[in-house]
Amino acid sequence: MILHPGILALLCGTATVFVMLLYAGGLAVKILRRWDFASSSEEQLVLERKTYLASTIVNYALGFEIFSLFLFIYTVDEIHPLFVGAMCATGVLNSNPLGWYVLAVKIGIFFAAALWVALNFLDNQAEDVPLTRRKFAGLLLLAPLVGIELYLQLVYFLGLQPEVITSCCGSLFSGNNSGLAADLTALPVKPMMGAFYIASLLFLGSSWLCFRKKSPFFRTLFSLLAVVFFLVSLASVVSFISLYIYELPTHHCPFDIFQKNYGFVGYPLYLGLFGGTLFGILPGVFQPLKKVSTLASDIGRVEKKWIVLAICFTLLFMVLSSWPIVFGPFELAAYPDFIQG
Amino acid sequence: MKPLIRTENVCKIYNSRRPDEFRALDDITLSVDRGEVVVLKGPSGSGKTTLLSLIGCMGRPTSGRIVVGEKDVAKLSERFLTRVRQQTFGFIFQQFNLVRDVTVLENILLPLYPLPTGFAEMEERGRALLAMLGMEKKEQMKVNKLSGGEQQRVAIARALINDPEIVIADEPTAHLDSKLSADLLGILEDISRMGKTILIATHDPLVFNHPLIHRTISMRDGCIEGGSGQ
Repeated sequence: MILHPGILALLCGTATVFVMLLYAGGLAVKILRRWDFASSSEEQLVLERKTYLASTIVNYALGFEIFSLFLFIYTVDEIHPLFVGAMCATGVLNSNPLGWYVLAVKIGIFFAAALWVALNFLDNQAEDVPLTRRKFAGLLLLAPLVGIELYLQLVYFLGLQPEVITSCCGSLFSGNNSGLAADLTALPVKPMMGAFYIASLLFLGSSWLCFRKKSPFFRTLFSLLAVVFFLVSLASVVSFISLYIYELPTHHCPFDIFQKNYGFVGYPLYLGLFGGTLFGILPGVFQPLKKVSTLASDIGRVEKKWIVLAICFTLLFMVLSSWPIVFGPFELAAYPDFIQG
Repeated sequence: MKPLIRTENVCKIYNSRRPDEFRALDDITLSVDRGEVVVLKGPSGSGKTTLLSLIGCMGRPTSGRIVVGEKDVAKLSERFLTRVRQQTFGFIFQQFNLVRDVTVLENILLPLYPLPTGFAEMEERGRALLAMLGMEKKEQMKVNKLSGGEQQRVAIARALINDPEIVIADEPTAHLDSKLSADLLGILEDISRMGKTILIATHDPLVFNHPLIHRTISMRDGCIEGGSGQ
């Protein structure tokens, strides 16, 4: 195994989180069977104390899981010089068949963990902790997911062979290839630009409706548009945003932008996209919880902050992705052969 | 004026629906006004301590309402009960419940953790209380080196450190001789003059016959004798 601080931190951190989730999972089973807030028994009070302690610890553990998505990307980008043929994180992810699965699971856990942290935050606002059963049931779903992540990460990092020649972004994100990456690369630029800016306008515009109207419909719509915007944006990064950042008509890699040559712009750019999507999803996901009488006012207060945060993160992403298009020296129109559609 | 403490039909059942089920409190309704000094008297097992522990947010009743100020504490989770307990109540226990092998001052500051303000300010407040109770020269002594009366004073200082609105004393004279008991009642009189509401559970006649006491409520078998504590 490559002994890199990032790899050790990822493995040790995920293992620690998994152990904490196993303990919390045991408590979750007890809570699902024995929790009765109406009861005044000593057992119930002890459970309440334990759940508060356990959920506080799990909260921080899942904070690590959220952060670890970026640590993973940083680490695989950092070790790419060790691999023959690798120019960026793409090469390292490609060097072992599990690389892309680890990334996919980590993205899934990023959102799942953040949703749990938000659920825990809401539960702690109400004096009768009405979400305790739900949030601990959620941990029973999260624990196996983190277990899978730990297993995949371990097998992936143990299986990295520097002497094996790997293919990198040049071949993977090429229209001549096949697969999802090639399909995204081959997307026509002009229609993708249109889709990207229309999706962003709809998403940001729906936030205005959320502030004007109290109906749950608009919050759900806002969240759905956040998901649409996320998917369109990921495709857009590969399709045309990367071209403007690299100032090359053929280079579509979504990972090179994490490198020093490009001012590490990938970190704030993806932070804006993932943060905007996450805070965009939250208001819609938690609409059903407004039926809980002790939570309704808290959700109403908090969701406004979530919408504001979604707007701020999305604007960060929009500015960083549009800046080279509007103000950069590169003009894609000068390369008509490379513009599809 | 609204009472500071109001209990409505409070019941507390231990080991509910089990063979050893025990009804410690049964349909308790009472109210206590701001600044009142109220004694709950009755024999052992009459429910005095259980009632004080419920009013003091150390547990939740099986049924009924307990309103402290404007808040129904019977419906709060343990975490919020802890917050109300820390901000509203000071406790004086029968056994003193001091932490051995730490100093007098450290014992007094314990209910403040996590400290709401700076440590120096808290120490200053602790020293002022020790001075009020004539214990200023003993602040660095370990509590296990103190006499029973001195330990009781430390317990009182600890009960007052968070400037509580309500002081709860459970059998405060149980381990004191008559002279120390009289001293304690003198201190409670001073606390009452500070505008605090005081609830005392006792079966000591020296306490419930003392002129400091505004009202006495008799309890037996988990019920208020005469039916009402209003």
